[in-house]
Amino acid sequence: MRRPLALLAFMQSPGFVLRCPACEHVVMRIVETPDAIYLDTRGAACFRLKKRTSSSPSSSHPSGIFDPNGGKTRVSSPRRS
Amino acid sequence: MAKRFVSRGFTGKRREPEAADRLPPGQHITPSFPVLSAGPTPRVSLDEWTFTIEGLVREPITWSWEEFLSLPTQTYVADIHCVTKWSKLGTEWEGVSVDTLFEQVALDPKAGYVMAFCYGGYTTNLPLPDVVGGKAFVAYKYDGRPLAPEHGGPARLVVPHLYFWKSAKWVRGLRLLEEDQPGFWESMGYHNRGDPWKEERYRGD
Repeated sequence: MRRPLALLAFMQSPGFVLRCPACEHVVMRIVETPDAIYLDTRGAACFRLKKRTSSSPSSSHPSGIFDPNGGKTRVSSPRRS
Repeated sequence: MAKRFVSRGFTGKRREPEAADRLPPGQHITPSFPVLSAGPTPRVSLDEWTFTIEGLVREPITWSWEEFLSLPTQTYVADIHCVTKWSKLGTEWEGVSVDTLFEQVALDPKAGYVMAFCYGGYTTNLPLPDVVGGKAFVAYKYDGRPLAPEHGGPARLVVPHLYFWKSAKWVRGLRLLEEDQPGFWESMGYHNRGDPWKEERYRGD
């Protein structure tokens, strides 16, 4: 079983980009436009998104789908180097 | 001696009405130079840096850093507009016109589009007419100094009349194409061309 991998998150750009910390390849891209959300999961095998619970600190991200500071999102990604 | 090129609307004086006239819809002026990036900043040594024109050309051509610096340069003053809604007026760059680069290769008449490709893997697509006729250049100096890595150094493409994501940082070359292909952000819902005066931010705008 693969160990969950913390990802590099690049938020200061026209969209969110998550990269493998080892090889820096793109694992996931997210763009929100006025009428759609684009999700590119090219580098991910599966996702485990931890649910927010009443005891969890609130996420700073309004959508709650990704909180790079809270460290709640873990992605199993094929390691490339 | 470098020639000087001044982009649309630049007069060299800063009066508010003129600044307002130079601001596309939905934009605000920033005095800073925000750094946006979709990945880590590539650290490219000048000994290893190359710039290539390939694709629909008779013979691809690659310049080393030293060879690139020997090409005729121009100084450009341009307003730049980011799709995230900041604009910066009167930025000053030094670099090589894409026209000058294309003079070194024989373009196939079928070439209609350009894909800029970069160290770090970023890409952005442009119609050929948007990078010729003095509209685009490869910059290696900003404000009289070598272009900082966080702003795309050693060299970046600058296409000031389009949103700034088209001005690819860490550019490594241009690929001439017959058919258009979406680049890194264009494949994720951003507009294919990105004219700030038409607010072409997203697909369908």
